[in-house]
Amino acid sequence: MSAIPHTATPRRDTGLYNAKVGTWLFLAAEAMFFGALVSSYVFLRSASAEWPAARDVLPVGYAVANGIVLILLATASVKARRAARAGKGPKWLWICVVLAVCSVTLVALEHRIVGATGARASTSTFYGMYYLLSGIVRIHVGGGAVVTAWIAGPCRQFADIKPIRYANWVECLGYYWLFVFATSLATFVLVYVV
Amino acid sequence: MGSGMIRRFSILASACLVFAAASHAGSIAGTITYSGEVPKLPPVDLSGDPACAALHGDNPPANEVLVLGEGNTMGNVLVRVTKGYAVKEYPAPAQPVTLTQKGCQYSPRVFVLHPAQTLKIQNPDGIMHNVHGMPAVNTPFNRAMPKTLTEIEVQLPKVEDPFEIKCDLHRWMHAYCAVLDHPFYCVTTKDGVFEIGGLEPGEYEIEAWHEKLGKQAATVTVGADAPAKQDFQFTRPAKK
Amino acid sequence: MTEGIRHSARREPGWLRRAVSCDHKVIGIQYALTALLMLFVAFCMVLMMRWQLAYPESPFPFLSNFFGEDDTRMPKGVMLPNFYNQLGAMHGTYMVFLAVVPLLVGGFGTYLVPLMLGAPNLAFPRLSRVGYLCYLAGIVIISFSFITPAGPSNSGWTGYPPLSVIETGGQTYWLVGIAFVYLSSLFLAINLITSIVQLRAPGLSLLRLPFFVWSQLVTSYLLLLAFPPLAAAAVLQLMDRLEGTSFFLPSGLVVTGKPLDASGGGSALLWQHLFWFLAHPEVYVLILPAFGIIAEVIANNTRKPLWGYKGMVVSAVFMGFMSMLVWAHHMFLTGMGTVISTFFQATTLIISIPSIIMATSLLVSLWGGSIRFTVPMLFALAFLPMFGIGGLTGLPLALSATNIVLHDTYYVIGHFHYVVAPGTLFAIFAGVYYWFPKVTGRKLNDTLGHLHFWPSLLFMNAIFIPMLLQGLAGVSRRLYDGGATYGFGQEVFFLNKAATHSAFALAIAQLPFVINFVYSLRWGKKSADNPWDATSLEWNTPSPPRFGGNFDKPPRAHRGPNEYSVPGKAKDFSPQWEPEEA
Repeated sequence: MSAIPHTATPRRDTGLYNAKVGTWLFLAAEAMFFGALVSSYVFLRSASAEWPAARDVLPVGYAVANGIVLILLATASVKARRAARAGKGPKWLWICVVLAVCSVTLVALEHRIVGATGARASTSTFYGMYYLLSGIVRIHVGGGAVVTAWIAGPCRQFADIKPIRYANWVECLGYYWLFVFATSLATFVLVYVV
Repeated sequence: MGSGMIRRFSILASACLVFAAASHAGSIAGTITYSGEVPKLPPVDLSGDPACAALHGDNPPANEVLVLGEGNTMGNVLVRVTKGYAVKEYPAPAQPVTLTQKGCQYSPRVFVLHPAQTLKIQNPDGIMHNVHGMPAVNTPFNRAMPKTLTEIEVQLPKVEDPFEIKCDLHRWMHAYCAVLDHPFYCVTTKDGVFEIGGLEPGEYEIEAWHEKLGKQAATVTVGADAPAKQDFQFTRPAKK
Repeated sequence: MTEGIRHSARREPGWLRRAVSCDHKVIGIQYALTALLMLFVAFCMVLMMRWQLAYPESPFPFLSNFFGEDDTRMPKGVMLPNFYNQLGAMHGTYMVFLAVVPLLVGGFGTYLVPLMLGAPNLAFPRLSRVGYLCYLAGIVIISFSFITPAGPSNSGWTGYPPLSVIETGGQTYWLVGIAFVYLSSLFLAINLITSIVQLRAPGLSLLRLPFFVWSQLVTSYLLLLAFPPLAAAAVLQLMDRLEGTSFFLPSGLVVTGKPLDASGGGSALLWQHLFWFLAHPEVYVLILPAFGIIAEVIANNTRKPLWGYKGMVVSAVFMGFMSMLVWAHHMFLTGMGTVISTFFQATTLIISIPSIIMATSLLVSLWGGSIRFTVPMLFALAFLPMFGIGGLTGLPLALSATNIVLHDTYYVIGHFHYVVAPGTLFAIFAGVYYWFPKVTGRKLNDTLGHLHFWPSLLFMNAIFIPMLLQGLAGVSRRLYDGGATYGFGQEVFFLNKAATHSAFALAIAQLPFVINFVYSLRWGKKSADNPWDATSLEWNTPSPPRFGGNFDKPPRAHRGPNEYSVPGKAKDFSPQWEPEEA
């Protein structure tokens, strides 16, 4: 079986390895997905007769805390990438996992508090959008946590067998975390600030 | 009014009277009348389906939303006892209720079904209909009847107040069905007369219902011999 | 047969290992066969609908005893309106999402792109396997709704709310199925783009790529960027259906005389925007790979380089870009405002320019060529005028003034079927006849091919010309009885019979193809490695290409993709892989 070229080392004319191209394409699709949700939010908000100020009805403290956790998460993912390139252990990857779990828990708590006021997704389009956007971010953070744990744990053996590919994976994961951070930041600004 | 409709009313009327005659106990009787200005209702506009229009030629059927007799007596009013009758299992009538769509008109327009009774819906003209029943308690039904499907059966096993049955293809077609588990009701004909028999002496609450003019309730005390009298008068609600 | 293939045959794993492998050829064939099956299923659905349109409320032949009297779909073989709506929705869904796109991109793309790139496989082999499984899951979920008591979705392949939100059929299955189809095409697109960017053989610069690869590249970008908004819209609609939100339900909605129990505040138009943001580029997903196939077949059979190759590449890229800016021309009738309508009318007219450049380039390519009238070439030649009719009938729809008259009539049906049925489908057939020898090592029979082509050409037109005429007479689409009970339908009602008889004749005309396909797999004439004297890299492999590696030795590209009849050369084709003689 012939080997597929450029799985580890970059192609000379493009300067990229395959997984990096694939990750960027995936994130482009993700950006369109979030773009559509954000456009829907703007569309519905501008068309609606009344739209409550999110700062007044939602526990903004949780959202801020979650934002800080995600900043730390993005930073940790950069650290993890450097560690992987230097051939060091998966410490920073596990830190990423812990932070991601914190973030998911924070959103869950926030949902519980909002739910206790009697607000359901079906209450109004505002709450529907709130639950949807925060839920989608939560799914992304949770999914990222699973993949990060998978790379830090079961896939750890590849760090010795195929060190360059392993470092590539960690780098691609880092792009994902930066993307999640950027989109959740955009969502936060959209829902709470604008 | 076509001859079919007259026959239909006579059948309904005789059903009420036979029932009243069979009873040895007390009964409630009365007349439903309409007061106020009688609106001029144009005949049904059948132009939506040329096949239906062809069945009637130049003589389109009258609008049955308000059926009035001599002295503005009202037909198609459902009078029923709502409280006071002995709560027990009353047997369902042996025959199923038949709702026909002859001439692209539902007949009967207002009828009552026992929960255990079958509703047969017929399509004798070979014209496509779509029977759409919209009960709130029972499961709604929405059945298309192409020309090849001449009869369908519907079960409505739960007691329910009158609900609408309409045809999704012919917007002038409306019928109203109530599901009652007792025999103490009567649907009036053009003469507006109702009589509910077979009632033990005592106090009853009765209700008269019309598809557009709403419902009215009354409390009636039934004696052992003469029928208790209770008339109802409907009027057009004031415009908002 | 070469030494290499016999050598590899000994090492090749069994059919089961191969069937679940991640080899792009295996997955490509699986995509193609599955999609061909879906094509057949969707065609059967439309045959049943066509019967009802020509003979309203009459029992379908042979089926009157198959269904009981109480059947909720076809009592005694007579189709009920709800089932007609369900079949209509499913015909569109199967054709677009489950048949044609997977066939063009999943089948042809997955199989051929790595071969044309000179690569051993796609960039992410496991991802392409997962993508195929997602596609299968989508099929299973959407098809499963057929056996639920409520039946499949009946709100059209466009799933317009509020109907799609309140309908009680299988719309939820549809949404979940479409989400899986989305994942499948996302993985496909990532795989194809990465492969084209990264895995080109040495010497294969971007402008030496066969036009087919370019068409797949642009198509993949469209799938990558246009599909996510529909996925987001599907999530929103799922919330509406399952969680009771009102993203697509406006306030004050009254359903069968009763106010709807929902908070309201949403917008049905939002769905249309999100849907068409995918579904219009999807139209170009349907036609661009078809152009790619036709370009290869025409270059090969005219024995000439493509005329205006660079112009075609630029047009394809421009078309891909513009296709994301035309979606609201499906919504001229929604009252979104004349300013927006004018904008989308302008972009729609602009996007016809690259289409015309491509079609014209292909037409001019015929000029002065010594044309071989092979079966694939016949389909390719028929494609050009058929696509032309499809494209030109689109112009009156592009102008918002005329669109208002023609919107939702049979004219629209005729128009887009001309693009995708005698257009894209003919390209698919051209591709199947052209690459069958490469895929199977055997040629398809020519006589049966002619028996397939000529009746298909005739009956395709006999189906869709009546639709254009009916539409001009004002007959609405989606009518259960084909206009029998409508005054405006009377004068053109007889055309329903013409179209229906032609549709059944078209079905019969596909028999030679099916026979040919099955017969040639086993008993067809053995094919050489390069039976058409073609030039692109896929013909540098054994027929069929070696499992798990494709090429006997890594190829290198020495020239452009269609170097036919180069002056001064001994033979009339100069393959990409042959080094320049010193």
